[in-house]
Amino acid sequence: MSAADSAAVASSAGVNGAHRLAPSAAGPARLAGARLTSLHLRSRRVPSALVALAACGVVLWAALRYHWWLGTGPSAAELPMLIEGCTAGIIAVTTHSPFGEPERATGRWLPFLRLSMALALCGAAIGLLALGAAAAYNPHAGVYLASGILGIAENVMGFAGVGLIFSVVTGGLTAWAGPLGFTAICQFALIANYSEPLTWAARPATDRGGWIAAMVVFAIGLAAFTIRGPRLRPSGE
Amino acid sequence: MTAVAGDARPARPGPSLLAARILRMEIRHSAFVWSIPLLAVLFIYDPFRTASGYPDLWTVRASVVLNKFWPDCVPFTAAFSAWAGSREGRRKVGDLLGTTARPAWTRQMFSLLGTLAWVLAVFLAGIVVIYVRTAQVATWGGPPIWPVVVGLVALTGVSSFAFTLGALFPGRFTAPIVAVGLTVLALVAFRQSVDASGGPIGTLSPDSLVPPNDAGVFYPMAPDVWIVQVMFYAGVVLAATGLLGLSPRTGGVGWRRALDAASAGGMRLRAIATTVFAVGIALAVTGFGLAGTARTSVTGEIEIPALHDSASDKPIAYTPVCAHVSGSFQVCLHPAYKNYLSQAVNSFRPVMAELAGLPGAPVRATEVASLTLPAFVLQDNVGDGEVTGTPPVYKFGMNNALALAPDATQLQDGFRQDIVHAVIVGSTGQLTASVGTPAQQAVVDGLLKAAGSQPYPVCGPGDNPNANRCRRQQVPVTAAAGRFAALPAATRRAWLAANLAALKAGRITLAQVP
Amino acid sequence: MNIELTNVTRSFGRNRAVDGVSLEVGAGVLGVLGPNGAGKTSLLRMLATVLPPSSGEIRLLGRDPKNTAQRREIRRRLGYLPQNLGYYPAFTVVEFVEYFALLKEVPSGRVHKAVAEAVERVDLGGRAKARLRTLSGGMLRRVGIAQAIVNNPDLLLLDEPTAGLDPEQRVGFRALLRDLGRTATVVVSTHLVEDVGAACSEVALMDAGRIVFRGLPAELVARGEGHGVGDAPLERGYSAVLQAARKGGVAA
Repeated sequence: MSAADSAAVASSAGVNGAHRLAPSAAGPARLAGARLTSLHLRSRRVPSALVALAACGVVLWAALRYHWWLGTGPSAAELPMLIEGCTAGIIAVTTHSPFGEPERATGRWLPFLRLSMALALCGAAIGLLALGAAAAYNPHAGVYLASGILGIAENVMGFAGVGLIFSVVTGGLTAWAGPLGFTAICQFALIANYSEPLTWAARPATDRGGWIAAMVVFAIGLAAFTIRGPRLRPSGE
Repeated sequence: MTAVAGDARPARPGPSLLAARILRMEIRHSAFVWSIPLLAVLFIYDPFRTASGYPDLWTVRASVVLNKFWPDCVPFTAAFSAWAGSREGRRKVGDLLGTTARPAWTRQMFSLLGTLAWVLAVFLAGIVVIYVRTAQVATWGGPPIWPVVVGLVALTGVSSFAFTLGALFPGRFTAPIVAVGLTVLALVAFRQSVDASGGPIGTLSPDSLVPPNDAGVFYPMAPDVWIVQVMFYAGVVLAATGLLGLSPRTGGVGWRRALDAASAGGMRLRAIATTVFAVGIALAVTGFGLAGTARTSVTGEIEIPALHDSASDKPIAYTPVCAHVSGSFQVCLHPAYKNYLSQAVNSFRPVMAELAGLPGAPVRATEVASLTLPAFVLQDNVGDGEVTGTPPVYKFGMNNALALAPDATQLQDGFRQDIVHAVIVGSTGQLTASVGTPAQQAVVDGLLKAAGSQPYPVCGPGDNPNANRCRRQQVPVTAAAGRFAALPAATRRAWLAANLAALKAGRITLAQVP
Repeated sequence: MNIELTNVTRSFGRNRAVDGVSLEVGAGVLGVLGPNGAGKTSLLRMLATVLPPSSGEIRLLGRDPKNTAQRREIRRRLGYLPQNLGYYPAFTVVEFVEYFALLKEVPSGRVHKAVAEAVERVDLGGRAKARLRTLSGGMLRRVGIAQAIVNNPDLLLLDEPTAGLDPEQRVGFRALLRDLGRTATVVVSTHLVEDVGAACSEVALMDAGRIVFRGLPAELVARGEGHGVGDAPLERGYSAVLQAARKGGVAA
């Protein structure tokens, strides 16, 4: 087949193909951004992540409602902290890209997509956990989340920041190790009554030093992940 | 290429050598290694430092193995085991590996063992450190083996369960969710064990309350609960690993085909997997059921009636270690508490110098098992001993005195407060605790002040209405105690010699205290 | 010139994967041959702007990839297919190509048409709505080619593009390469010398991080005359040049 023939074939096939393929994203240009965002989120398994985050909210509700733990004072934060660490681990794992390097050799939208996804997932995690806590709230029966939504927000964002930093260093698939390890450190700090700003989860939710530390970690993680993205292996895994 | 006649392939290595090589590769490449530095830090700050602060007793120090170190290991064990289990699914090498000669089940067992070897090695290393440190300070008894066995089997259960979950659900979210899920389960089970009505879940939790100081000292610790825990977690191990050999998701063929194949005499490995799974389930269910029958024994421990050996309720024979305090008064302790003998002597000396030889005063102090003391003696703010018998002997327990973190001054004050209270106030014929009459309190506090110790803690701690009211009521008592302490020692002794019986009977008023 | 490399080096630890490569390439199809570990993939990754050089200068499409804004512009005009292409199994063929079209900032009004054309050009129009997990290895490779050409790139980099394609598909693919090479610079890294012979206007041979031959396929054939190793003329030329280079001194 000569080059001219194949080009002609290709062009006519392209024209025919345009008719054969039903439009999946027809519409004005402004829908392109929504389409790109949708595909990006699906490729990161964000729908599954949202289901997992919702399950965390349900677990928190059940833990409060059925008094799964008896800790009072600082110990009351042990179980919620674990669940918040789990949400951060889930967020960290969604940073993994299945496409590898070709995705990076493209235009300018990838950093915006990363930033939006990380922020949206943090917001979803905070919202779903807050919903779980609110659903169980019954002050007459002594059922309430001691740290409140402030504690949820602080811990989810701070732990997620650790996860995002880990994704830049170790890659998305293993980034869960960061929030898991950090949660273990904070659990120990809580039980042993250590009070360092960097173990913010062991301090009261209204503690300013803890908030500053958590937000700094979150900002660093978010910036690093947005700019550099998760570490890639040459094979794209 | 031409065929070579007499195809001379190198001889295959034996099965054990092949297995060793595969296992070595799995161990070398296990991701669990990355968690070891953090675990080491947690070990130093959590179990090791906690154990170092405990009394020099084997049982209570060894309790950190299950109360501190085991829960520290659970999240990392679960996470990296699930990660290892999901490897084939995540990498999509199932087809590729499925073409190899070695069965999927044995291949996965090697993968599991690769992570488990590290987990158990780290756990054992921590135990060795704690036990070596304890051996350097403990004066009686030996390293408890049951916590080690329970910890190893329970961690193996966590690892195999997490690995199986990872193999069955090889998604990117599996590792963190399994890790946190199992950690939450462990935490909830621990809380159930603390709760009086914890039920079987609480009984099966390796992580439980710290035992009393004298656990395993006067009476052997019944292994009932440990046996049940080992049974349950061994069942979990077998069920999880058997499931790996059965599930189609992990290369198995499912229940029915496995059973059919087994009955037809083929697929021996599948039949073994079925058997292993069934035995595991039976063992776990049995363990769970037995745990539901747990009750408190006469020695204050948890016992399982079906497993309990009444011989473990008999006291352990021992030769006490004794030292002279003042005159003929001596103090005797169980050899396990030998390290505290000099402290006890120094604590009793100043107060017994005032009380020894008085009518009704004890001739010696002897440590006994706390559970043999009347319940009201062991209550807070009342005392940890009683004067009883003929001749009168001060019998006391060390539980409250040591209170898990013995500060030298607190220990000294505790010894003095308890014995002075027992001699002056006493507990004869009483069913409930008594802090004594104001006159008795004043004399007790006066003797303690003269010895350089804190007054007897009659009012509770903290800033609350009851404690504050009590402290206001104590003002005249404190003043009287001050006057009594200011007297010369000979004057105090003479007054006590004349009035001790009346004081103990409650016939002396506060105003009559010099 | 769309590609200008000046003494480019790339090292990984002590391993010098690309060693002082200088290259100028305009429109056309350049085939890059070489044994395993010669540095072909590292060279392609540097051209794809996903791997910075350890030293040397690179200019692509007249722009400097070290400059952020210019690098973006390069990437809008770039197509890249790596040796191992990752994919999300739940995506359909169209979704996968569309995703890359959107990332490459193909004008939104043209995305749909560009995706359709790219899918048809690789002869996957009939499987456009199929999920990637249902496709064979060769089809997945064609999907990878489709994402690389969806933005009508001025610079197209293909690493082992015909791996998994059957002979008929390879013929069609070579025709596609020739067609693309009329206006764009196409760099193809491959082990298959017949691909080079059929589709490439020029060939470069790499060994141990260096370019040891650059010229027309016919010139490579000529180098192989009288050489005993190889079943085809290009193979003999390939072996002859490598042998000479390893003995120490055949310049490109």
